[in-house]
Amino acid sequence: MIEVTGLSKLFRIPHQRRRSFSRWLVEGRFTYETLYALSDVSLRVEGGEFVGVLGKNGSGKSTLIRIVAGIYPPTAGSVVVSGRVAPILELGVGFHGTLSVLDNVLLYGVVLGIPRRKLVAEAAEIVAGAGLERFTDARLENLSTGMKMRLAFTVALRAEAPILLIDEALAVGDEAFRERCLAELKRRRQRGDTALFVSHETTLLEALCDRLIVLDQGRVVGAGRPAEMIVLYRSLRPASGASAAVVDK
Amino acid sequence: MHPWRDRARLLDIVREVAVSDFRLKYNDSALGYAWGLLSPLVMLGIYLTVFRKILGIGGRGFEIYVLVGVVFWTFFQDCTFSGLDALTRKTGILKAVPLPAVVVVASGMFSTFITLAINSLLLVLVLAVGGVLSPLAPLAILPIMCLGLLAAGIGFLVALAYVDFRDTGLIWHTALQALFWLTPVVYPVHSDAMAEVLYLNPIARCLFLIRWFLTASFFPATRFIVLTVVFCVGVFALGLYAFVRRQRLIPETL
Repeated sequence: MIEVTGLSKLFRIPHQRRRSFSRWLVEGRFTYETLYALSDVSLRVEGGEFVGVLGKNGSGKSTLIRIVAGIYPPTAGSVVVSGRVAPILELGVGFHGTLSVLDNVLLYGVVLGIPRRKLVAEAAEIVAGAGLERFTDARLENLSTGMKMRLAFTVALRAEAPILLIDEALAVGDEAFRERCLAELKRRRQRGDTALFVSHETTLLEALCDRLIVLDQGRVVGAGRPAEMIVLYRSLRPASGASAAVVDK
Repeated sequence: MHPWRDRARLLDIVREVAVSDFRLKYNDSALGYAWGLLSPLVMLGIYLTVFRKILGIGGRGFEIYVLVGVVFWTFFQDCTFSGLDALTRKTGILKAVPLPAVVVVASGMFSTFITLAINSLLLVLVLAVGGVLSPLAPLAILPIMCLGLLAAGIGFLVALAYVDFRDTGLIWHTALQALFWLTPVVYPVHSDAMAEVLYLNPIARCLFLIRWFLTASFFPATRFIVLTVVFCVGVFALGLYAFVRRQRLIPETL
């Protein structure tokens, strides 16, 4: 279960392009623009529910999922997550091209919170699951992008956490890869896992989610059945330039 | 449970990141770990040539003196840099996975501790073969640990400075050059007046004690040891505290 109550997030964006010590000496201090990426957001995802968050660029989606994952602290409000979480916000984060496939499985796995002992025991299975058994000792950089994505996704799924947080992570692969991800996620849904997705891909969200929440400029503007929310999302005007900057934070 | 509190996970990460950093460092060199030894040895050769042959400085045992200095100075330099380096290289992880920044910085520095352990053992071996190893040598662990704490404490402070100032790496590089010559790494301390000033520097104190325990056969002044330990532990505690206090905001600031 995920419960978000009255969540707000304020970012301070420096006016200076580069914050260097020498500049600080000359100018005395840095100045900032403050910006609310999220204001007073409340939502609830029940156990066993798949909920998607839909919004234009700069609507605060990524900030929201990062706060739920415990990466950013909230400025105000609270987040309660009961159960183990697998945050799949970026596939293959921490991968090192010059290390072997096997080393990367261990490195990425522990970063995602999978116990090292379990990884060591299941490494061969994971590499085989990604169809890379012939390349266990190969350098990761010699593999194609598709192979790397497959490997990352296979490792990520080993996290076996009942709560999934997914941010556009599946948008990177080709059609076959997405089909595979989709099938796996549907299986998770049947098993009774919980998930919060962030995306602007309406087809993916419609196929997977019980409910959608629409964010616009950091506020919840709608929540309900996927088909209706997609209509609402399409009727929103494009994000303003100022809030789009927050996406890169 | 908040992922930050999953201690087993954090320990796994420190271990895996440290080992992979260690591998990455030597992976691309055909000589592997030997390269990590070769570079201080080349420096040793240069310093000895300059001081002994050109400037005519250095008495008996000067080679050992410089060797010990270079080995431990190299550690101090690498360790203070690797925390900052870890923070810049692992920004992606910090933004995608709930992970205390202190774990990233600590595991970056930890790989230099692996190098330190190996090099210390090799050094002891060299001293033993040369017949100059003191029976007090096991006690050298104390000042080596002090130097480790000092370097880690400063490493945390340097990494923290990077969060606000992106040119910290450049500044620290220059500061290290100055610090190198303010520390008796490659030159001997001749007079008491010189010693009084130089041993205000905790790195100099650690080096003095390491050299002493490795090669001398009687005990140095207790007061000197105690003050060194207190100072190094203090710097470590300060660095760690300052870093941990601000780490919640590091992923969004990077």
